[in-house]
Amino acid sequence: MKYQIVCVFIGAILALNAQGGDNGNDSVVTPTQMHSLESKSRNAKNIDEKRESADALYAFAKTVFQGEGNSNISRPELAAITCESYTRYLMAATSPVDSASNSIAALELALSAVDKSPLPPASLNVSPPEGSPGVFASGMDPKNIQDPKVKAEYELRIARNNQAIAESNNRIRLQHGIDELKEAIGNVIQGSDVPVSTSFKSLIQQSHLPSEIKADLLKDSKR
Amino acid sequence: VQWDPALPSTITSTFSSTAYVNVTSSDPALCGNPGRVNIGTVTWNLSPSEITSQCVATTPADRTRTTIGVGEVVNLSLTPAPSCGSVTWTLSGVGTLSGTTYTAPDRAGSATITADAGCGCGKWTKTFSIIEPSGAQFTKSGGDKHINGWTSAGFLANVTILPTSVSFYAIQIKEDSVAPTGTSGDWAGIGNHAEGSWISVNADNTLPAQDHINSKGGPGAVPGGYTWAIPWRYHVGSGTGYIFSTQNHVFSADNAGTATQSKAGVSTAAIPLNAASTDWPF
Repeated sequence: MKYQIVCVFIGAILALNAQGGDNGNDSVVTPTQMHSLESKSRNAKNIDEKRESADALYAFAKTVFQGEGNSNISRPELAAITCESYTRYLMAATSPVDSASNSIAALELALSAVDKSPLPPASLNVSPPEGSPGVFASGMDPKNIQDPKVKAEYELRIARNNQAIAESNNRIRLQHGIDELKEAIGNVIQGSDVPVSTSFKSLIQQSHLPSEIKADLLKDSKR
Repeated sequence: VQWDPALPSTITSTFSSTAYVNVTSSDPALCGNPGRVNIGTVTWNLSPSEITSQCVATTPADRTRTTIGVGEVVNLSLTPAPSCGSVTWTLSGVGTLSGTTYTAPDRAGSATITADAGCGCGKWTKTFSIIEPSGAQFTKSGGDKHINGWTSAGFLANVTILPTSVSFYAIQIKEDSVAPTGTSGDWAGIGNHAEGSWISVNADNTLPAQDHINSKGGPGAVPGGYTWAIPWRYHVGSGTGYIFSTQNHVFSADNAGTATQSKAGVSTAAIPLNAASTDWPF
């Protein structure tokens, strides 16, 4: 089984390198690669594919988080996708012991991606700038602004707002991903046979997870 | 066998009793007196099993609720576990069941989960109602906004997706593009409301971004008005999603330039042209 995991890991790295080679730079990882791996996880047809695709995403995430790839990938988004992938696997697996280590490591990685700094302000609708005569409204189509300077400034504000919304979305998605993976790991501990449950408990105790999360995952009450 | 205490005719809950066997002896030393041997105590634990469920979303506080939002995830268990059989979980209705985890679909519906222990050991069911968002509640944040000398009115609003009896953490919402209606005066030139971006909803159904709602014409008095009846759309994960609500953005101004702006039923006061300026744009 260990041999299989190693093969999956190496296969994932080779696949990433092959995709990275498309643009002539093996060290570059792209959002396209991330979404391709996400798609494989979402469309996995059986339990083995679910595990392999989750492990491949984790290997990819480690590459990005260790800075080995010069990427423009959003770390919160990647961490969220990795959590979601392991959650899908753990929910479906009857004996997920082979991925115990990686799923807990993925949770650690996701927690390291949580950004508690203030978000840039985002709004549902953006106000056009002041300046020129006419009629204006928040949320109006920039096409209807005649003054090119005002129009350009408004479009810039919309672009900045879209960026802020994307960042907000990624943070929310990451938090959901963490919550669901914690729940899935907790269910494995509570609902699996003793060897699987013991394996997860042992790995959690040895992990670098925050003590309150360890306590939550290891608590005896039925989740 | 004698039971002490005696067995009732029906055992409906946990019940313990000790069993004794009467013995007699021909040993003259016992004078033929009977004795009894304590065989042991038996406990019947007839607490009925039931399917318990826990929503992953921690808001609303009742995580055992059976009415859930589209896309919500619920963990199931059979408690206490039946003493015999092997439990098989099945789903009838909408959504997906993976192991003991149920995920609601992106549309309203009903789902019944069955836990079957097999071999006559018992079968239990639980039914969930899945609901879609029904609307949005706007709450004004701060005061009315205005620019002195311009026909202008606006406000900031916090937005909550309804109903709050479930969590819509799995959805994103956005505003569609729409042409204005009821236009008059120079406001006929306001054009369409532009399509917005998909924005994720917090677990408590609040939006992480405020809505900026305003109209401004001028300088001077610009009488007239317009309405954008803005379709609100949601999706779960991806796709074009579904329209679930319409929020009316309505502006009007009189000949003196006194302006009123509203959205989703929340409105500014009528703000005169010469009222003092506030922060604008906001």
